[in-house]
Amino acid sequence: MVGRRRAALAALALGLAMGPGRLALAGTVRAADYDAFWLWGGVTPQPALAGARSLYLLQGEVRATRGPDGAVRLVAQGGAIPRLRQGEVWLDYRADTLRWPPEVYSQILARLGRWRAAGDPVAGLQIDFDAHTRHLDDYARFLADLRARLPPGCKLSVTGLLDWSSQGDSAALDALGGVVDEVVLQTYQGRRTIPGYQAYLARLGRMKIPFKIGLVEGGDWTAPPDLAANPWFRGYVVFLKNPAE
Amino acid sequence: MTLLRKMLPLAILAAGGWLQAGGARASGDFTCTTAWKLDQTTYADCNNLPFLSPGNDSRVNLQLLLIDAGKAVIGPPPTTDPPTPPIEASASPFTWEAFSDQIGPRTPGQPDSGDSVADPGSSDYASGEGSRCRTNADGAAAFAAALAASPGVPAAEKTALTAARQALSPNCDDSGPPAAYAPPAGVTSALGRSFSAYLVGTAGFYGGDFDGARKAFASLAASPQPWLKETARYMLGRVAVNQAQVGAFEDYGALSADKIDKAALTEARQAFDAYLKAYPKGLYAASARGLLRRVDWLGDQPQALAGDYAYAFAHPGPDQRNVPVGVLVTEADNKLLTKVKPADVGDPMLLATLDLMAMRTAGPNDDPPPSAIKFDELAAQKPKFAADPDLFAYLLAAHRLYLEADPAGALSYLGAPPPPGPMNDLGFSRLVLRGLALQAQKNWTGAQALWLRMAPTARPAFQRPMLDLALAWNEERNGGLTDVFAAGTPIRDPQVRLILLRNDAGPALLVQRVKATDAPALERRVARYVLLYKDVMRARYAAYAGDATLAAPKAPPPADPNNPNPDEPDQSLFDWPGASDGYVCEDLSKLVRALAADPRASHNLLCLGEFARQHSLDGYSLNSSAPADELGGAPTQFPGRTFARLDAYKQVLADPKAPAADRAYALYRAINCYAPSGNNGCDGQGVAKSVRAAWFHSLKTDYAGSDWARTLKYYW
Repeated sequence: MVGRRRAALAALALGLAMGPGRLALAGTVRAADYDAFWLWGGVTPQPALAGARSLYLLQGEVRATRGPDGAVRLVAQGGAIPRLRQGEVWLDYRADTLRWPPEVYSQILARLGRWRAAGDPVAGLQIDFDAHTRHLDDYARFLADLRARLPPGCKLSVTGLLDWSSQGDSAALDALGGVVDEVVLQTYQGRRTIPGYQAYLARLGRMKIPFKIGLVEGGDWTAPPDLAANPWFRGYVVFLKNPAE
Repeated sequence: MTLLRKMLPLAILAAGGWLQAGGARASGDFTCTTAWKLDQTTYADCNNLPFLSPGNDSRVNLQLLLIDAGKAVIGPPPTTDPPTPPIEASASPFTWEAFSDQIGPRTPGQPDSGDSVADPGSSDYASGEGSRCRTNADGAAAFAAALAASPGVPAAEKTALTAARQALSPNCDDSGPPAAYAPPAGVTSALGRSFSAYLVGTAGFYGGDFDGARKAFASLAASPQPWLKETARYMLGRVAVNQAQVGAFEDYGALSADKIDKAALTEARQAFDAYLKAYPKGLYAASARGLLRRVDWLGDQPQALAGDYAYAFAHPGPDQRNVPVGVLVTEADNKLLTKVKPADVGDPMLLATLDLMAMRTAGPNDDPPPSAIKFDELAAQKPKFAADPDLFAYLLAAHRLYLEADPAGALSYLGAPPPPGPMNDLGFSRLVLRGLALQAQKNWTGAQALWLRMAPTARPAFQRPMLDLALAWNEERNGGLTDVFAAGTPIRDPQVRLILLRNDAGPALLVQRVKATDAPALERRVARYVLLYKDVMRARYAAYAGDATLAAPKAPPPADPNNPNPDEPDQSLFDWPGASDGYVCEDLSKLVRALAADPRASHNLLCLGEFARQHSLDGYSLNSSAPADELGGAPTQFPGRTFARLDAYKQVLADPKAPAADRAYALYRAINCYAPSGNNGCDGQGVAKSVRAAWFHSLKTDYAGSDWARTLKYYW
């Protein structure tokens, strides 16, 4: 056990020394080979987290209720406020609507403030919204407004769908580039790697904004040969699962 | 006081809780494909059905049982912005979120949660977000009210004390040590000093000095001022439960049960028990009961926790519980159902919910679930269901049908069908399971008779629309497709009917539906679109021109241009003008006429390929039927085979009469079917990489002078 951990850490150190993406990773995604993770509610923290440089922790979901007033509300998800002292950590919010009322912004910004007060190394917010490619320009406008509300030193990240790189209107995609600090493109759906994901990756060369590749633990990943040389590539984020899953 | 009563519980209950990502099951995306069938053992976000089913979200099953128990109701239809069709009026499987939004009773004025967005004290917290600081604003208001109602405190002291309480602006997440607190000076009256002591307790509580807080509140536990006495006794419990969890939520925010302060937890239980004994209907009775659930959760006491939830579901009164049923269902799901074993649970409702989860099977995109419950394990639960033998029999029958594929065994547990009449949710579920068992025995007419018999007494919300799916699925497999569209049919659900037209209908039925002036306009447009599409793509060329003259009512403009109705077909597909650049083709009408005259001519095949390529028709849903076990999955009655581009290109290459220009273009397009991934993106039978290499070689040598050879640089 100890031996394996040490080997993994050595590989990680090698990866860091070579820069993100230079590591030729292929095959089944193992958490120990990576240093950035999504940790979703109900997923038990695992040892690989100890070496994490970046963590994305689910904090809630913004959703349109069908309540009497049709209100859009923020429902808390995930765990208590973390107590991290190293690396960087992101507050992750899912959204099924972009019609956010003022209190949703204040709740999210207040949560961010509480993380900072607790001493966590907060990198910023990540928004996980399933934006269809044809609505990317709407999404870019929403994100520009959100960005303007963020306190100094708070970055903005979004998850993206793989087809953004292959089908997306490149002007709309480039417009995101002026607004977000990174896009994490997900190679999985549900908890499985999307079959044939390589087909989408072939057009990553079109990306003109910093992007990471989102993988799912236990899923499949073979890096395309030109990825390491892509100047916009910023590494990987692995969605962690429970061991039994 | 109502505000305080309302506010406290959820705030503290959720404090530091580890809430799961709801119905999404931590998937990290929202993609879910509706499966139009009733026989579901795979869990998926969007595939809940209105009867007890292993495939349902556990919270839907629990809600259905609570409705039967009279502890929840399907509420009035909600209004939405923008308006959407009510899900309860549709036969479609649905999401937990859509269902739960209809479940009540809700606290008046509150959509589906226990906290109020309108309350300034909570506006900085999301629904369900945990922090003991959430009660600060309400607590300050209650303190001021109690002080105002205490004539024994001089006015100047009241002013100073109220201001001091208002000045407390705690940060419950500050990583620093608790700051010392100095109550306002000049408070000398006996009662004023008691309120001052309460202030010290409050400051300690919010500031994290729990020992100091305990000392202050203990000093007030016998106060002659009734509000101070009651509140201090309750606060002793809150102090202890918060102290118990100091440091228990580790670095990433998850609970570490071994870091709980067990002594403080015991103290919290004793304090709340004592409070409830003294004040069974007290200001904080519901909150104290909710916090006792938290004590059992923190203490990792699954059996006690299961008992707590059973009690809470059974006792919705304002002194017993301060969360709406929908919120409690989600809490029970997060804290209990996803954690415990059946052996820990005695309550039939919770146990049945757990058993249905244990009957799930893995879907194609899931990791394998833990092994399903065995029949003998289920049968051994009989004593726990002594009060609810029908529910128990239902579970046994479900196991026989879903996990053992034994419909006769399932029927043996369902007894004789009851005479027609109103059905509760279990009664409805039993009949649905009977129908599914009959269909598993291919007893189509028996099942159909059952569905029809249920229809008049089914609940208009959910139950009746679902029977449209049941009936249509049955008719589809029993040669009754035309009956579905006959006058007087009971099957009215628009989506169900459209699925049958898209997948199953042959030309005669489609023509009949386009012409049916009494049919819904959308149905007529879909019928026309499907008819013309399949005329072209399934080689019914001679009929196309005549069919194209059939008229359907015009489509209205979409309410929201960004969100067009996904069911509305785009008839402009058939106005294809052909291609004037690249490989030149005439318009669709002329092309179809040419195909009718010579369906094998290379130019005609290549132009049909252009039509498909330019409209991205490879893999289009109309090219194939729905999965065989879903509605639309029976063999289609439309003749012919769907045109497939790669097959057409191969046909051109095999045609000795094909002109060189056509052969060059067929090679170019066939090779491009594999761009850029190396996987065949065209419809049609794939070929080995060596074949593609040979195609490329042939294009570059045999047709080196063609534009296509010059354009193509790679093969894949």
